[in-house]
Amino acid sequence: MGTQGSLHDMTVADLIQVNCQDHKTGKLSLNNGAMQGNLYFKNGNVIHAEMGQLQGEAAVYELLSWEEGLFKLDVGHEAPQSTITRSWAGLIMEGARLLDEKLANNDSDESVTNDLKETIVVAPKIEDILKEMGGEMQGYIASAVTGMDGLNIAQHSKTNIDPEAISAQMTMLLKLVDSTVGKLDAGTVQDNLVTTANAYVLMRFLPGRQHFLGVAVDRKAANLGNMRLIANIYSERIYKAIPR
Amino acid sequence: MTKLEQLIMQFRSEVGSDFVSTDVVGMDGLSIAGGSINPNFDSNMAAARFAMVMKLAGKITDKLPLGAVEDNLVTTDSYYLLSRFLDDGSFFWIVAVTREATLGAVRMLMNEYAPQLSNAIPHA
Repeated sequence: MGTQGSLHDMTVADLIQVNCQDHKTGKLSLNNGAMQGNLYFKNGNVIHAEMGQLQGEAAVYELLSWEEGLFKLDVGHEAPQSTITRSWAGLIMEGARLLDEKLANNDSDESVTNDLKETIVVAPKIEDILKEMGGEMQGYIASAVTGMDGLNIAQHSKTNIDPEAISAQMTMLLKLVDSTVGKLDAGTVQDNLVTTANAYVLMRFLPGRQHFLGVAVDRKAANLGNMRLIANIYSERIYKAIPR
Repeated sequence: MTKLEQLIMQFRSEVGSDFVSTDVVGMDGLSIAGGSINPNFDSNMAAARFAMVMKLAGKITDKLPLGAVEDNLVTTDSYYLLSRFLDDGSFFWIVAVTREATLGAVRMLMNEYAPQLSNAIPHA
Protein backbone atom coordinates (compact mmCIF):
# COMPACT_ATOMS: atom_id res chain seq x y z
CA MET A 1 0.00 0.00 0.00
CA GLY A 2 1.27 3.48 -0.84
CA THR A 3 1.61 6.13 1.83
CA GLN A 4 -0.95 8.39 0.21
CA GLY A 5 -3.95 8.10 -2.02
CA SER A 6 -7.63 8.71 -2.52
CA LEU A 7 -10.59 7.39 -0.54
CA HIS A 8 -12.03 6.39 -3.90
CA ASP A 9 -9.40 3.63 -4.01
CA MET A 10 -9.42 2.64 -0.34
CA THR A 11 -12.12 3.36 2.19
CA VAL A 12 -11.33 4.57 5.69
CA ALA A 13 -12.39 1.12 6.98
CA ASP A 14 -9.95 -0.54 4.54
CA LEU A 15 -7.16 1.78 5.69
CA ILE A 16 -7.80 1.01 9.36
CA GLN A 17 -7.87 -2.70 8.63
CA VAL A 18 -4.69 -2.78 6.54
CA ASN A 19 -2.67 -0.64 8.92
CA CYS A 20 -3.82 -2.57 11.98
CA GLN A 21 -3.20 -5.94 10.36
CA ASP A 22 0.29 -4.78 9.46
CA HIS A 23 0.83 -3.70 13.09
CA LYS A 24 1.67 -0.17 11.98
CA THR A 25 2.49 2.74 14.23
CA GLY A 26 1.81 6.09 12.62
CA LYS A 27 -0.55 8.90 11.78
CA LEU A 28 -3.13 8.69 9.00
CA SER A 29 -4.16 12.18 7.87
CA LEU A 30 -7.45 12.50 6.03
CA ASN A 31 -8.69 15.50 4.07
CA ASN A 32 -12.18 15.90 2.69
CA GLY A 33 -12.62 19.38 1.24
CA ALA A 34 -12.33 21.80 4.15
CA MET A 35 -12.56 19.00 6.71
CA GLN A 36 -9.48 17.35 8.15
CA GLY A 37 -9.05 14.44 10.52
CA ASN A 38 -6.34 12.19 11.89
CA LEU A 39 -6.20 8.58 12.99
CA TYR A 40 -3.27 7.37 15.10
CA PHE A 41 -2.10 3.75 15.11
CA LYS A 42 0.14 2.06 17.60
CA ASN A 43 1.31 -1.54 17.11
CA GLY A 44 -1.77 -2.45 15.10
CA ASN A 45 -4.39 -0.64 17.16
CA VAL A 46 -6.21 2.64 16.65
CA ILE A 47 -5.37 4.53 19.84
CA HIS A 48 -6.47 8.09 19.05
CA ALA A 49 -8.49 10.05 16.50
CA GLU A 50 -9.43 13.66 16.00
CA MET A 51 -11.81 15.39 13.59
CA GLY A 52 -12.73 19.01 14.23
CA GLN A 53 -13.98 19.20 17.82
CA LEU A 54 -14.42 15.43 17.99
CA GLN A 55 -11.89 13.15 19.60
CA GLY A 56 -11.64 9.41 20.32
CA GLU A 57 -14.25 6.97 19.04
CA ALA A 58 -16.65 9.73 17.98
CA ALA A 59 -14.00 11.07 15.60
CA VAL A 60 -13.37 7.57 14.19
CA TYR A 61 -17.07 7.07 13.46
CA GLU A 62 -17.28 10.41 11.69
CA LEU A 63 -14.20 9.61 9.59
CA LEU A 64 -15.60 6.16 8.70
CA SER A 65 -18.54 7.89 7.01
CA TRP A 66 -16.28 9.77 4.58
CA GLU A 67 -16.56 8.49 1.04
CA GLU A 68 -14.39 11.12 -0.59
CA GLY A 69 -11.08 12.73 0.18
CA LEU A 70 -7.37 12.07 0.35
CA PHE A 71 -5.25 10.20 2.85
CA LYS A 72 -1.60 10.23 3.82
CA LEU A 73 0.19 7.88 6.20
CA ASP A 74 3.20 9.03 8.24
CA VAL A 75 4.77 5.85 9.57
CA GLY A 76 6.32 6.13 13.02
CA HIS A 77 4.42 9.30 13.96
CA GLU A 78 3.36 8.90 17.61
CA ALA A 79 -0.10 9.86 18.90
CA PRO A 80 -0.28 12.94 21.16
CA GLN A 81 -2.57 10.99 23.51
CA SER A 82 -4.47 7.72 23.83
CA THR A 83 -8.26 8.02 23.79
CA ILE A 84 -9.42 4.72 22.27
CA THR A 85 -9.39 1.24 23.81
CA ARG A 86 -11.88 -0.53 21.51
CA SER A 87 -10.36 -2.99 18.98
CA TRP A 88 -10.02 -1.85 15.37
CA ALA A 89 -12.54 -4.48 14.26
CA GLY A 90 -14.97 -3.26 16.93
CA LEU A 91 -14.56 0.33 15.71
CA ILE A 92 -15.35 -0.68 12.12
CA MET A 93 -18.37 -2.74 13.14
CA GLU A 94 -19.75 0.01 15.37
CA GLY A 95 -19.06 2.59 12.64
CA ALA A 96 -21.02 0.48 10.13
CA ARG A 97 -23.86 0.08 12.62
CA LEU A 98 -24.06 3.82 13.28
CA LEU A 99 -23.97 4.55 9.57
CA ASP A 100 -26.84 2.13 8.93
CA GLU A 101 -28.75 3.69 11.81
CA LYS A 102 -28.20 7.15 10.37
CA LEU A 103 -29.46 6.04 6.96
CA ALA A 104 -32.46 4.33 8.51
CA ASN A 105 -33.33 7.52 10.40
CA ASN A 106 -33.76 9.26 7.08
CA ASP A 107 -36.92 7.19 6.63
CA SER A 108 -40.03 8.20 8.52
CA ASP A 109 -40.19 7.32 12.22
CA GLU A 110 -43.44 5.51 11.58
CA SER A 111 -41.99 3.12 9.02
CA VAL A 112 -39.02 2.39 11.30
CA THR A 113 -41.35 1.59 14.18
CA ASN A 114 -43.44 -0.65 11.98
CA ASP A 115 -40.35 -2.47 10.72
CA LEU A 116 -39.18 -3.10 14.27
CA LYS A 117 -42.60 -4.43 15.27
CA GLU A 118 -42.63 -6.67 12.24
CA THR A 119 -39.10 -7.98 12.92
CA ILE A 120 -40.15 -9.21 16.32
CA VAL A 121 -43.06 -11.08 14.81
CA VAL A 122 -41.41 -12.42 11.68
CA ALA A 123 -37.86 -13.31 12.84
CA PRO A 124 -38.97 -16.59 14.44
CA LYS A 125 -40.36 -17.59 11.05
CA ILE A 126 -36.91 -17.12 9.51
CA GLU A 127 -35.42 -19.26 12.27
CA ASP A 128 -37.88 -22.00 11.33
CA ILE A 129 -36.71 -21.77 7.72
CA LEU A 130 -33.06 -21.93 8.84
CA LYS A 131 -33.85 -25.01 10.90
CA GLU A 132 -35.55 -26.64 7.93
CA MET A 133 -32.63 -25.74 5.67
CA GLY A 134 -30.19 -27.23 8.20
CA GLY A 135 -32.14 -30.48 8.04
CA GLU A 136 -31.35 -30.75 4.35
CA MET A 137 -27.60 -30.19 4.71
CA GLN A 138 -25.27 -32.98 5.69
CA GLY A 139 -22.96 -31.98 8.54
CA TYR A 140 -24.95 -28.82 9.30
CA ILE A 141 -23.54 -26.82 12.24
CA ALA A 142 -25.22 -23.41 12.28
CA SER A 143 -26.75 -20.71 10.13
CA ALA A 144 -27.79 -17.08 10.40
CA VAL A 145 -29.32 -14.25 8.46
CA THR A 146 -27.11 -11.26 9.06
CA GLY A 147 -27.31 -7.59 8.18
CA MET A 148 -24.29 -5.86 6.71
CA ASP A 149 -23.82 -4.29 10.16
CA GLY A 150 -22.82 -7.77 11.39
CA LEU A 151 -25.94 -8.22 13.51
CA ASN A 152 -28.08 -11.33 13.08
CA ILE A 153 -31.79 -10.94 12.48
CA ALA A 154 -32.27 -14.71 12.84
CA GLN A 155 -30.02 -17.62 13.68
CA HIS A 156 -30.06 -21.33 14.31
CA SER A 157 -27.41 -23.66 15.70
CA LYS A 158 -27.28 -27.42 16.12
CA THR A 159 -24.19 -27.27 18.29
CA ASN A 160 -22.84 -25.01 21.02
CA ILE A 161 -21.15 -22.79 18.41
CA ASP A 162 -22.47 -19.25 18.72
CA PRO A 163 -23.63 -18.06 15.25
CA GLU A 164 -23.34 -14.43 16.39
CA ALA A 165 -19.60 -14.77 16.90
CA ILE A 166 -19.20 -16.27 13.43
CA SER A 167 -21.48 -13.72 11.77
CA ALA A 168 -19.72 -10.68 13.19
CA GLN A 169 -16.35 -11.88 11.89
CA MET A 170 -17.65 -13.12 8.57
CA THR A 171 -19.42 -9.82 7.84
CA MET A 172 -16.05 -8.08 7.86
CA LEU A 173 -14.66 -10.66 5.46
CA LEU A 174 -17.65 -10.44 3.12
CA LYS A 175 -17.41 -6.65 3.04
CA LEU A 176 -13.72 -6.83 2.21
CA VAL A 177 -14.35 -9.42 -0.51
CA ASP A 178 -17.14 -7.27 -1.93
CA SER A 179 -14.97 -4.14 -2.07
CA THR A 180 -12.06 -6.17 -3.51
CA VAL A 181 -14.20 -7.55 -6.32
CA GLY A 182 -15.55 -4.05 -6.94
CA LYS A 183 -12.04 -2.62 -7.30
CA LEU A 184 -11.12 -5.46 -9.68
CA ASP A 185 -14.24 -4.80 -11.73
CA ALA A 186 -14.77 -8.56 -11.56
CA GLY A 187 -18.57 -8.57 -11.44
CA THR A 188 -20.98 -8.71 -8.53
CA VAL A 189 -20.28 -10.99 -5.58
CA GLN A 190 -22.90 -13.70 -5.15
CA ASP A 191 -21.29 -15.71 -2.39
CA ASN A 192 -18.06 -16.37 -0.53
CA LEU A 193 -16.98 -19.75 0.77
CA VAL A 194 -14.25 -20.15 3.38
CA THR A 195 -12.76 -23.61 3.83
CA THR A 196 -11.17 -24.17 7.22
CA ALA A 197 -9.58 -27.31 8.66
CA ASN A 198 -12.93 -28.37 10.14
CA ALA A 199 -15.69 -26.53 8.30
CA TYR A 200 -17.06 -24.89 5.22
CA VAL A 201 -18.50 -21.44 5.90
CA LEU A 202 -20.68 -20.07 3.11
CA MET A 203 -21.90 -16.48 2.98
CA ARG A 204 -24.47 -15.78 0.33
CA PHE A 205 -25.90 -12.34 -0.39
CA LEU A 206 -29.67 -12.24 -0.27
CA PRO A 207 -31.50 -10.24 -2.95
CA GLY A 208 -31.10 -6.53 -2.26
CA ARG A 209 -27.67 -7.20 -0.69
CA GLN A 210 -28.68 -5.72 2.66
CA HIS A 211 -28.41 -9.12 4.34
CA PHE A 212 -26.58 -12.38 3.78
CA LEU A 213 -27.24 -15.98 4.63
CA GLY A 214 -24.34 -17.56 6.51
CA VAL A 215 -24.06 -21.32 6.87
CA ALA A 216 -21.38 -23.41 8.58
CA VAL A 217 -21.14 -27.16 7.99
CA ASP A 218 -18.77 -29.85 9.21
CA ARG A 219 -16.24 -30.40 6.45
CA LYS A 220 -15.88 -34.13 7.07
CA ALA A 221 -19.63 -34.80 6.90
CA ALA A 222 -20.71 -32.19 4.38
CA ASN A 223 -21.15 -32.29 0.65
CA LEU A 224 -20.02 -28.95 -0.75
CA GLY A 225 -22.22 -29.04 -3.85
CA ASN A 226 -25.28 -29.89 -1.77
CA MET A 227 -24.51 -27.08 0.64
CA ARG A 228 -24.26 -24.49 -2.13
CA LEU A 229 -27.38 -25.78 -3.86
CA ILE A 230 -29.52 -25.84 -0.71
CA ALA A 231 -28.29 -22.38 0.37
CA ASN A 232 -29.17 -21.05 -3.06
CA ILE A 233 -32.67 -22.55 -2.98
CA TYR A 234 -33.44 -21.25 0.51
CA SER A 235 -32.02 -17.75 -0.09
CA GLU A 236 -35.08 -16.57 -2.00
CA ARG A 237 -37.45 -17.98 0.61
CA ILE A 238 -35.54 -16.39 3.48
CA TYR A 239 -35.42 -13.06 1.67
CA LYS A 240 -39.19 -13.09 1.28
CA ALA A 241 -39.57 -13.68 5.03
CA ILE A 242 -37.50 -10.63 5.98
CA PRO A 243 -39.75 -7.77 7.05
CA ARG A 244 -39.60 -4.62 5.00
CA MET B 1 11.58 -20.55 -17.09
CA THR B 2 11.56 -21.41 -13.39
CA LYS B 3 9.97 -24.56 -11.99
CA LEU B 4 7.20 -22.37 -10.53
CA GLU B 5 6.45 -20.80 -13.91
CA GLN B 6 6.47 -24.22 -15.57
CA LEU B 7 3.91 -25.52 -13.09
CA ILE B 8 1.74 -22.46 -13.61
CA MET B 9 1.82 -22.93 -17.39
CA GLN B 10 0.94 -26.60 -16.93
CA PHE B 11 -1.94 -25.72 -14.60
CA ARG B 12 -3.18 -23.08 -17.03
CA SER B 13 -3.27 -25.56 -19.92
CA GLU B 14 -5.11 -28.12 -17.80
CA VAL B 15 -7.80 -25.57 -16.87
CA GLY B 16 -8.23 -24.81 -20.56
CA SER B 17 -10.35 -22.09 -22.12
CA ASP B 18 -11.96 -21.03 -18.84
CA PHE B 19 -8.64 -19.88 -17.42
CA VAL B 20 -8.40 -16.13 -16.72
CA SER B 21 -5.54 -15.49 -14.31
CA THR B 22 -3.32 -17.05 -11.68
CA ASP B 23 -0.57 -15.84 -9.38
CA VAL B 24 1.53 -17.14 -6.53
CA VAL B 25 1.60 -14.25 -4.11
CA GLY B 26 3.53 -13.35 -0.97
CA MET B 27 1.55 -12.10 2.01
CA ASP B 28 2.95 -8.66 1.17
CA GLY B 29 0.59 -8.74 -1.85
CA LEU B 30 3.35 -9.04 -4.44
CA SER B 31 3.14 -11.77 -7.05
CA ILE B 32 6.24 -13.95 -7.49
CA ALA B 33 4.92 -15.78 -10.57
CA GLY B 34 1.89 -15.86 -12.81
CA GLY B 35 -0.27 -13.39 -14.66
CA SER B 36 -3.54 -12.77 -16.44
CA ILE B 37 -4.53 -13.62 -20.00
CA ASN B 38 -7.47 -11.23 -19.82
CA PRO B 39 -6.51 -7.54 -20.21
CA ASN B 40 -9.62 -6.60 -18.22
CA PHE B 41 -8.47 -8.61 -15.22
CA ASP B 42 -5.60 -6.92 -13.37
CA SER B 43 -3.68 -9.77 -11.76
CA ASN B 44 -1.37 -7.45 -9.79
CA MET B 45 -4.34 -5.69 -8.24
CA ALA B 46 -5.96 -9.06 -7.54
CA ALA B 47 -2.75 -10.21 -5.81
CA ALA B 48 -2.56 -7.07 -3.67
CA ARG B 49 -6.23 -6.99 -2.72
CA PHE B 50 -6.54 -10.71 -2.05
CA ALA B 51 -3.52 -10.56 0.27
CA MET B 52 -5.78 -8.43 2.48
CA VAL B 53 -8.63 -10.92 2.13
CA MET B 54 -6.42 -13.88 3.03
CA LYS B 55 -4.89 -12.05 5.98
CA LEU B 56 -8.32 -11.22 7.34
CA ALA B 57 -9.64 -14.73 6.68
CA GLY B 58 -6.66 -16.14 8.57
CA LYS B 59 -7.15 -13.81 11.49
CA ILE B 60 -10.88 -14.27 11.93
CA THR B 61 -10.85 -18.04 11.72
CA ASP B 62 -8.18 -18.04 14.45
CA LYS B 63 -10.87 -16.58 16.69
CA LEU B 64 -13.48 -19.19 15.77
CA PRO B 65 -13.64 -22.88 16.71
CA LEU B 66 -13.52 -23.97 13.07
CA GLY B 67 -9.82 -24.61 12.53
CA ALA B 68 -7.31 -22.75 10.39
CA VAL B 69 -8.44 -21.31 7.07
CA GLU B 70 -7.22 -23.23 4.02
CA ASP B 71 -8.87 -21.51 1.10
CA ASN B 72 -11.44 -18.98 0.00
CA LEU B 73 -13.78 -19.05 -2.98
CA VAL B 74 -15.60 -15.97 -4.24
CA THR B 75 -18.40 -16.45 -6.75
CA THR B 76 -19.26 -13.38 -8.79
CA ASP B 77 -21.56 -13.18 -11.79
CA SER B 78 -18.45 -13.20 -14.02
CA TYR B 79 -15.79 -15.28 -12.29
CA TYR B 80 -14.86 -17.83 -9.69
CA LEU B 81 -11.96 -16.42 -7.65
CA LEU B 82 -10.18 -19.10 -5.67
CA SER B 83 -7.35 -18.38 -3.24
CA ARG B 84 -5.55 -20.82 -0.98
CA PHE B 85 -2.58 -20.72 1.33
CA LEU B 86 0.66 -22.29 0.15
CA ASP B 87 3.83 -23.38 1.88
CA ASP B 88 3.79 -22.40 5.57
CA GLY B 89 1.14 -19.75 4.97
CA SER B 90 3.60 -17.07 3.91
CA PHE B 91 2.32 -17.35 0.33
CA PHE B 92 -1.04 -17.88 -1.28
CA TRP B 93 -2.22 -18.90 -4.71
CA ILE B 94 -5.02 -17.08 -6.49
CA VAL B 95 -6.84 -18.45 -9.52
CA ALA B 96 -9.54 -16.73 -11.57
CA VAL B 97 -11.68 -18.74 -13.97
CA THR B 98 -14.84 -17.90 -15.85
CA ARG B 99 -18.25 -18.95 -14.54
CA GLU B 100 -18.35 -21.54 -17.32
CA ALA B 101 -15.53 -23.45 -15.62
CA THR B 102 -16.31 -26.70 -13.82
CA LEU B 103 -15.72 -25.56 -10.27
CA GLY B 104 -15.18 -29.03 -8.83
CA ALA B 105 -12.55 -29.81 -11.46
CA VAL B 106 -10.69 -26.54 -10.81
CA ARG B 107 -10.69 -27.21 -7.06
CA MET B 108 -9.34 -30.72 -7.66
CA LEU B 109 -6.62 -29.39 -9.93
CA MET B 110 -5.68 -26.86 -7.26
CA ASN B 111 -5.48 -29.66 -4.68
CA GLU B 112 -3.14 -31.51 -7.03
CA TYR B 113 -0.91 -28.55 -7.84
CA ALA B 114 -0.76 -26.81 -4.45
CA PRO B 115 1.92 -29.11 -2.92
CA GLN B 116 4.01 -28.88 -6.09
CA LEU B 117 3.78 -25.09 -6.13
CA SER B 118 4.71 -24.97 -2.44
CA ASN B 119 7.80 -27.05 -3.15
CA ALA B 120 8.75 -24.87 -6.11
CA ILE B 121 8.65 -21.58 -4.20
CA PRO B 122 12.23 -20.34 -3.92
CA HIS B 123 13.39 -19.91 -0.34
CA ALA B 124 16.19 -17.67 0.90
